[in-house]
Amino acid sequence: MKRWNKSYTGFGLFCLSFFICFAGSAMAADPKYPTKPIEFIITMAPGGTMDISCRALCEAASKHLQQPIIPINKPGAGGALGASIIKDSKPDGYRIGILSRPAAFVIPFAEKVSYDPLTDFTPIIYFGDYVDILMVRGDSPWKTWKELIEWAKAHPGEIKVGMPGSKYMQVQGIALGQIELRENVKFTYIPFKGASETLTALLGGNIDVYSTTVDASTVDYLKIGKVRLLAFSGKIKLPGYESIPSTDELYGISVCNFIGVVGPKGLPSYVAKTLIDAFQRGIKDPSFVDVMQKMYTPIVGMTGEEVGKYIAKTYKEQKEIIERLKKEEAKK
Amino acid sequence: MDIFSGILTGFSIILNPLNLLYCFIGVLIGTLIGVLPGIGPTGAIAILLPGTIGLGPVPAIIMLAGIYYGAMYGGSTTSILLNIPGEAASVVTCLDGYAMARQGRAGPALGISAFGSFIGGTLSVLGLMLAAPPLAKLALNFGPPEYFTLVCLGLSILIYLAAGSIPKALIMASVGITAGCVGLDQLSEVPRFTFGIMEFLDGIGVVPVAMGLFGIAEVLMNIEQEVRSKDIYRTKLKGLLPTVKDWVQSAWPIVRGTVVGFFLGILPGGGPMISSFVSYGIEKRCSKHPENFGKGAIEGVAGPETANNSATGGSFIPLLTLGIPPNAVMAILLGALMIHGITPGPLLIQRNPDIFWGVIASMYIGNVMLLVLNLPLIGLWVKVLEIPYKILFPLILLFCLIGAYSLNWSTVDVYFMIIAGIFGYLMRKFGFEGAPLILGFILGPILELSLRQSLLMSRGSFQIFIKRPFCIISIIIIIFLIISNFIPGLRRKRFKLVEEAEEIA
Amino acid sequence: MERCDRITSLFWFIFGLYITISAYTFGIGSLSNPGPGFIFFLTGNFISILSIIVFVGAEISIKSGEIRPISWEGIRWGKMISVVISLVIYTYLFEKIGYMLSILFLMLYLFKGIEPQKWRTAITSTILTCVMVYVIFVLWLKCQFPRGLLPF
Repeated sequence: MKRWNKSYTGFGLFCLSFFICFAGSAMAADPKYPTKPIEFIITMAPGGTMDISCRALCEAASKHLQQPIIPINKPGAGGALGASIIKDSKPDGYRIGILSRPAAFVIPFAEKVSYDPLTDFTPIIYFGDYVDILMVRGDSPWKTWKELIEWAKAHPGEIKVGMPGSKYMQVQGIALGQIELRENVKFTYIPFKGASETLTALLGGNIDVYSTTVDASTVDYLKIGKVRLLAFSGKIKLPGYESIPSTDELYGISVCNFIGVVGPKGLPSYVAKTLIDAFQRGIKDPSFVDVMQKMYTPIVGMTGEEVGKYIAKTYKEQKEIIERLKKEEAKK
Repeated sequence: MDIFSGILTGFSIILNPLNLLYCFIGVLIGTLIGVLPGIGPTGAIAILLPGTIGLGPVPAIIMLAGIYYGAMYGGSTTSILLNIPGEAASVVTCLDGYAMARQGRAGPALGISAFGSFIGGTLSVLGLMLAAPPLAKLALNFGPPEYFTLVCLGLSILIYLAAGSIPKALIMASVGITAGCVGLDQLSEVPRFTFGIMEFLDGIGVVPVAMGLFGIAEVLMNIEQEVRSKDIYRTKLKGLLPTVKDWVQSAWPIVRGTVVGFFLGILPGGGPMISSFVSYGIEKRCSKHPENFGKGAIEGVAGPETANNSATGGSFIPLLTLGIPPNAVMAILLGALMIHGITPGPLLIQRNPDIFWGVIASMYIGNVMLLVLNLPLIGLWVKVLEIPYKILFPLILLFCLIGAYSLNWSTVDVYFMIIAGIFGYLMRKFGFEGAPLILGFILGPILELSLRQSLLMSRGSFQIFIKRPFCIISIIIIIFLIISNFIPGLRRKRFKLVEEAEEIA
Repeated sequence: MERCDRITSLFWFIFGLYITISAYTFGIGSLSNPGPGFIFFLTGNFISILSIIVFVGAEISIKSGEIRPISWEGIRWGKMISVVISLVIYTYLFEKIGYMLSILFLMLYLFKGIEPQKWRTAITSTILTCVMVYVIFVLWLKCQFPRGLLPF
């Protein structure tokens, strides 16, 4: 009897412990994600550089998930509208989207927005950067940035800088504002609705300097000499144009850069992890790399918490810069 | 490559069965999109764009282009039949097209619209083919001051849009401008009249407002009292196609519409919408019987419909020669080209002649396909009007509701439309017109932006408007238009009273 | 000119005033740097001035007897308002209970509740409409309507 009890008890204990382990791991196993298509909010209008890059990214990342990622355009207010929509979405991982750099680092200082770039989002990946340029017409008298500044010093307010949007709503505007203070010059800013309108104005002689991100057709104009590149307003240069200075080299001033995918705050960690993984593999996809090259958008690969830290740091920096800028300008 | 060999290349490309197929698919989808109010070519192209990545660039662009000009054909259908503008470019067609439908002349209205669209579309492709580069250079010279005077010219034409009281029409236009400028100010980050609502930040959409003002208001007008279908559409259909008399009356409007549409299409920012309004104004001005406009004058359909199709041809010019898209649809096509590795820009014609000439040739063929597609459909569309109105009006309302939602997949647009519908109804009861409001709505933002840009450029001086040739010419035309309106002013007033007396009866 | 022109012109005058005052709060700016309120300042004043013209014109017409009264007779206010309310309810429910149910309820009401109609016609029309919407918009055009409570 004793032996029988012992072996049965042993066997029972064995079964029990097996059951406990099994049940424990079943409880600890994450729910399946994703089980339905994921919405991806693109915060710019269809057809633009960001739109095309994002669509390529969605395609590439979808390959590593069982469900497709569906891009939806919700342009407006420089990306702030889309950011609000993402912030208000359920944190279940089925709606994510773009946090654009104006939405994160410029617009919150220009006006009240309904989101907080530091706390309302779960960062997923920072996948790309822009190349920002300062261009003049090919037939204009300034061959270098220095020449332009010299002329501007002698003719305050006469240089017309065009950009898509107004000075305090654009990263380039903030950078130029700082340069104005540093060099003690004054530009006149003419806002336009989009990059194409700005380019038209430059070619037609209605503005003198074109300040925005580069895209494929501007490169064509550079090649045929209709426009001349005077400087890069960020740290990144176009391949083949390394001899042109960047404002970072000249003054230590540059635009902040960022194209990031975020989800609403409070995304469960298994969701965030799955998404990060998929996007990280997606950016290595050759078709995505190809599209990004065509769009002249260098690829970056920061993910997860690191992105959160980057956003916080850049936000703080921009806040100081913009506050200082406004104070100085008010003085004048 | 000279034009002759170019066009030969183009035709050799389009006559490839694959490209022909995609051209057909494109124009078919375009027509359908145009007929359905709400979702327009922009939305359709954006949705279909990823699907085209597998195709080569040539069939993809041919198809997407087909959607664009195909939508211009289809857009007039609901405007004429149901007074619902499918997109902003079709608003003007509602004015006389719907009146014609109520008189039993929906067939001729649809017919002249199809023919006009064909002629406008084809001739504009001819223009695109022959004169693209020099015309593009012309477009570049258009800066903010030119835009401002052009918009003022457009608004002064509104004096001719007004069938009734001019002060009331001006009030409507001003309200339209005010409403059009609602939203976040692009220049100074100040939200204007947004009342704290996020969706207002980007402004109110013109399509929901147009659909409400015209489509929903019309339904409300008709169900005011007990519905008697006979009163709404005279069921005795007077023929399915335009008569000889119709053709004679439409000939010059079609010619003028082609020219107006083509040139306005080249300019960034305008395109089909503005050209249809301008064409309507011009036709009314040139007509011997302007009092007929708004009551079923076929010129009011022929001119604008030709103009908006002609504008599509013109709008390809800046895209293909400069890489600058003049409107939202072209912007997506720009993106499409870039995805396929084609860089639109000054070098496109040299580097990718197959794209340039292929698209041109496809547009010729596409327009023919559209004519062949749309004419037999007239018989079908006209049957819709035979549905008893008490069954028809719920369908019309649903159509509008779905259409408004499909613009941005947002119910906010639907609410706007409903509000616009109530407003439109009240407006009509009190004798105010919708067309000036829509014109103001569309032109308002452009007016404001170009004025502010011009003043920034000139640093406060109004001299900038006098120093530029185009501006001076426009200002002279505006003054001329205003003055000449008041000289036969007395006679017009009497006509107005006569019409109004007739309307009560 | 209509008798009601005096009321409407008063309305527009006040509206114009509202716009002009709001323009000040936005900031009118200067000629060399027009502010966000610039255009509203222009349109607001314009509307107010025009409304005075309309008012004066209405006064003149009334005095000279050329009035065109608006026909308010026979208008079924109850039904009109119910139609508008039904549209608003539909829009509100659209994203809550899904497109199919909202369309179903709306169509049933519009077919049956406004004009004299047999139940059979109303129900058949409603069902046909729902099917057509499904086929054209959801199956064919792949529109993304909110599903709501139903699986389709």
